[in-house]
Amino acid sequence: MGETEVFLLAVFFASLALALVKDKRFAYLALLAVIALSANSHMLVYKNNHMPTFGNTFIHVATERHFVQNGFYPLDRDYSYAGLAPNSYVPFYRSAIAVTSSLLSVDVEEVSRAFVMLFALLLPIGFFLLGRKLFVEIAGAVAALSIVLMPETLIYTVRPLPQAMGLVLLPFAFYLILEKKLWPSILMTVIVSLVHQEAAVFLAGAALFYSLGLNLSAMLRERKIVLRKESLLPFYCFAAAAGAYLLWHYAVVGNFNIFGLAQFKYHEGAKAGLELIITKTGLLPVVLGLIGFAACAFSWLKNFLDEKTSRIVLVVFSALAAYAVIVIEAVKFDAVLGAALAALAALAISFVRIELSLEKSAFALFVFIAAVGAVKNDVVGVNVFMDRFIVYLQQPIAVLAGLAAALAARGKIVFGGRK
Amino acid sequence: MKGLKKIGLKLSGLALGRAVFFILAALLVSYYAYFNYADSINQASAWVNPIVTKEELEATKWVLNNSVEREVFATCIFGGELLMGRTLREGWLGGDWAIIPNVVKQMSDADEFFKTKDAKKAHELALAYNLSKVWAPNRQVFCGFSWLNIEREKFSNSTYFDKLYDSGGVQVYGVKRK
Repeated sequence: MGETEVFLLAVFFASLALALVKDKRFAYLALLAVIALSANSHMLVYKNNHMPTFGNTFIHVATERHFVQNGFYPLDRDYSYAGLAPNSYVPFYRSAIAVTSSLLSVDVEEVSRAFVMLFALLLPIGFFLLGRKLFVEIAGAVAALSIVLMPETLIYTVRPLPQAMGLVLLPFAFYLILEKKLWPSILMTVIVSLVHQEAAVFLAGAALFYSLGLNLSAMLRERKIVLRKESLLPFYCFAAAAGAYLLWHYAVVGNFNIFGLAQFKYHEGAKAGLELIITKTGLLPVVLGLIGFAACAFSWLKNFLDEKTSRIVLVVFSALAAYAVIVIEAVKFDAVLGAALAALAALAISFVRIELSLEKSAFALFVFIAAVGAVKNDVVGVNVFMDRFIVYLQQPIAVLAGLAAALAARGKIVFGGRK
Repeated sequence: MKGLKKIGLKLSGLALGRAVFFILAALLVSYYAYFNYADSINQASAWVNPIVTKEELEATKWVLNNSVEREVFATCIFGGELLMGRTLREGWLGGDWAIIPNVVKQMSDADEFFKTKDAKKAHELALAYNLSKVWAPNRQVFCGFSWLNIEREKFSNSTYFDKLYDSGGVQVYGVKRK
């Protein structure tokens, strides 16, 4: 950390202040500072005289190089473990690198590193757009900063991996869903699904939870079974994500048995507790994210309950959650701290006025819940990739952190009104 | 206050209070942002550390000139991935483990191959997997369980192996056919 980073952070916060008191367009200057911070941290990809090798990066290089040298994508035989299986890994990231390499006549390893830098630029832009779409410009800027501060997101985007591309494309996919653009949403969903499997799982789960959340909200409010037409688009995206991956798997392998994969068979991944989540996410985004979550939950609850009852429900729920976390992870300092902060945040936020549209609060809440479900899938016995999904949980946390910052800055938030 | 007015800001008592709150909050947040950012780079740095050595990178040129595409080498995970990425050769370890049947047995056999002092046993394992060459870098290798040192003495048994390449940093041995 040097003077450059301090300067960029200073520019960010100064721009944010000016966006608040002078002109909201200063939020774009804050975004530029975040983009520069992101580019700075992703320069790690050039730390060595060759691209990073840790984390299976070269398995993708093999297929890319094969594509470039032989002119076709090798489907029948993967390079992994002595070529014993078909090449069932989803192909878009590898194809993008190979095609770019061919077009520019640049080696695939150098193209891979250049893609990392491209992802570094796109990552904060995606979260700015998403935060601005859901809330306001300030929220977008803080969401962008939050995602750039998160260690796990950097770990997965600084290495030339399909994960990086999937993580960068996800906020754009969510943005299109919120824009209610049917075919662009479905197209982006299919692209994400064929870029990276875990991104596909997260996107499918988030879209499904959002769709169900919209209907649940409508049912709670109207006290009858209803199907909101706004819930159809995210449901189509869920179906598109699941369908695209399954069809690809079937086309290459000849069956739909994804649960036969070693990752399921051997339960790859480790359980993720609060301490690990805080370590991998950073304390600041976690705290801001929890405040944003509490605010969002409060706004959502007000669709069905009066304001006073909503506050009581939220405070009681927060206290119970904090107690549960302290009991579960009592010996760990970070867990106690995190739980205490969560309770404080919920208490504080319950005195603040906020009114989000049902759609926006449902989106932020249910995508967060879907991500928590993915991280804690061991609770329902799946036991696969729990810790690997922390990086996806960080996406709704970043957006909610943006909401918290906007809330703190403006004192109250009224976006979109109730629908 | 005059300065603020000059740039077009008029603050009431409430707005001033809010501005003070914002500044204090921003200072606190920026303090944590600074350390989160530093921690983020620190954590990620560990993931971009090179595992393979410069000598291994250099030796891939020899591999390109002295083996054929898709030829299978005895490697650890990182050696296998380097070979597949740089040369389109294959390692018996390395890559997408999720798609491989009995992959844990394969890892276990590779682990044993590098650990054992018994040249005959290593040779039998190599033949069982139809391996033609052994990639033996001067670093610890990882076959899915733990980092371990290669027991190199067995490769000097000319009944089973012969040395094809030695740069000091990496050796390549041929697996003799019966």
